[in-house]
Amino acid sequence: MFNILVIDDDGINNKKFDDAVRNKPDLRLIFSNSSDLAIEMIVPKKKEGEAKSEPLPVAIKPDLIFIENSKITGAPMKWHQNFHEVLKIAGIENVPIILLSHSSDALLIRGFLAPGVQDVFVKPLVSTLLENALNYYSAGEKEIARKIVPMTGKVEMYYEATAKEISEFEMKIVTPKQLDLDEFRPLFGEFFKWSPNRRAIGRCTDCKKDEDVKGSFIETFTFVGVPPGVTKEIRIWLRNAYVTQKQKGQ
Amino acid sequence: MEQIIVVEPDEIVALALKKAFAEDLEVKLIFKNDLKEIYELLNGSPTNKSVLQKLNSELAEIKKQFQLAAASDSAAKSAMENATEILGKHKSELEALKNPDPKLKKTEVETETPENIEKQKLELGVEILRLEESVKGLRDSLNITTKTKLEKERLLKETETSVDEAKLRVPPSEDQLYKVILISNKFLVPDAEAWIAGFRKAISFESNKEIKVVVLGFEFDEKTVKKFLISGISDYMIKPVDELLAKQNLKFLALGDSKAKREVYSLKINDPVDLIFEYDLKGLSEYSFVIESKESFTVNDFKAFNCDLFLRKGQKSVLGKCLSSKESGEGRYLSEFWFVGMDTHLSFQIKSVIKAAAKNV
Repeated sequence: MFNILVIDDDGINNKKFDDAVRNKPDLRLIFSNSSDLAIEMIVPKKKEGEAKSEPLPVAIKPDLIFIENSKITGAPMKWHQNFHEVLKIAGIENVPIILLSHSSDALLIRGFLAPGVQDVFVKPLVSTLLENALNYYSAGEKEIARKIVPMTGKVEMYYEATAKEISEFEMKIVTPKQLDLDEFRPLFGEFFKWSPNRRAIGRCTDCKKDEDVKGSFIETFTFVGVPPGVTKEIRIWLRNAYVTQKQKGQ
Repeated sequence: MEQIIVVEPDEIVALALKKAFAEDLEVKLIFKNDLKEIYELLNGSPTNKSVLQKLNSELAEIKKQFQLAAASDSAAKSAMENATEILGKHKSELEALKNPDPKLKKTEVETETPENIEKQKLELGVEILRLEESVKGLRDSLNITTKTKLEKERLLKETETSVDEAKLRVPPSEDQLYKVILISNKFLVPDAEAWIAGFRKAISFESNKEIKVVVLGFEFDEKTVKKFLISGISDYMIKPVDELLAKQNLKFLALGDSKAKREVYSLKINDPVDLIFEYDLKGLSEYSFVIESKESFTVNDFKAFNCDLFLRKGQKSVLGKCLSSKESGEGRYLSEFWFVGMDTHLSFQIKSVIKAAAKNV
């Protein structure tokens, strides 16, 4: 039997789970209204006032866990760490966790990703997607039923880095990827308030090993193709950011 | 003082640049509007050009001669080796005829009549004499070709040294060296790639071959800017130029990698930023997509993507989880990414794209 623990109190959502496993006798759903309750189900313990002779409830061993984002209480990273400890005690630390989110915003979702989180599903759930995921995680072969249609086009991949310094002409970033000198690279930053699509193009003018972080590089990108109006906006942003930093410092 | 050539008919831009570099003692701007004149500038003075050109053509001729000598030497060597090998074989055959091995069982040699054996011995003896003569001749000619090759090699080295010395003897004067050319995109016909190739080819004066090219244009949408950001072009500036920005970036290119020259105020921050890489989309399913790349990806890694085909307006990216990354040959990889955080709208959009693609097929 493949146990699926769903930590969510959304009736409509839970019904979709019921529908998805209807004709699959090997899949068993276990619902929990809260993460605390789920933890008790995984690692049962005596409640206050319960007699010592009272037997402990049988612990459930989920093979897959779905958890609604709002059921994660406190700081997400801290919660995940604690939850992982619980799974470790139960001997199921490798069980995949799938988050159920209300937002499909990639940036928000990126913030939810924690060790152990294997996937994120957006509510209202897409039935076919849910069924496929259940097949994928429950099947031994981990095979997804899908037909890939040949397609031509371009896909942009966002490679995460951290901006450390910025001026009106250039930016210094720390990244695990070593770039070639003079390489042009589009950049995306939520803090690029001066650009409507938060993008800029940079030319790598310097690349050296980061002495503080092993395997990281400090790269300098000179902004390319910046219209004068935008340069002015960058200057204004820089001035404001500087003032804000100063105020925070004081 | 470093020199920058400006090829921009727009007077406002020229004025802004003149103003930006008005009191600069390190950089001098030279304004030109004719490409012919620019090539004359970049190809240096006639004296330098002719001295070096003459020496370079001599060097090329000697290189050719050396290659010929080396080829004929190696041909002579292999001919002599062949002849020596055949001679050796004949000699051992003759030896076998003269002293047949008694331990060996009856062979054809023994069944031959004594007259025939004598005849064969005679024929082999004559052939051996002829081959010995030929090997001697080949050895003589090998000696000659080796000598010629060594002679040419020595000459080549000498000429190479004299070219280097000539370069040192006639150094290009400062006013013949140009570090940057700032050129309006109107001149880059038929397209940036073809123009830059032709431009580099037309510069014969070695000292100016590495001149940095900066393009000027009015268009600032990313698609247009990207057209000019090719190998051989160092920067793209938007008109009307920001004086401070133009001065900073042009000086940085002209003066080289001297950090001291780039004194800018930097704000310390700690914000996430994404480097964007472009890959070819190769396939799409309801739940995943396949990309081709020169690098492989780690299975189960999450990455953010942007693609017109599966992104709604206003949405910046979609997350994908790497399902597999396999080599597809010629150092390329096919990687499949599973959509993460897919909502009903995205699912519907992808289905429509797949339907349309299937229809076209």
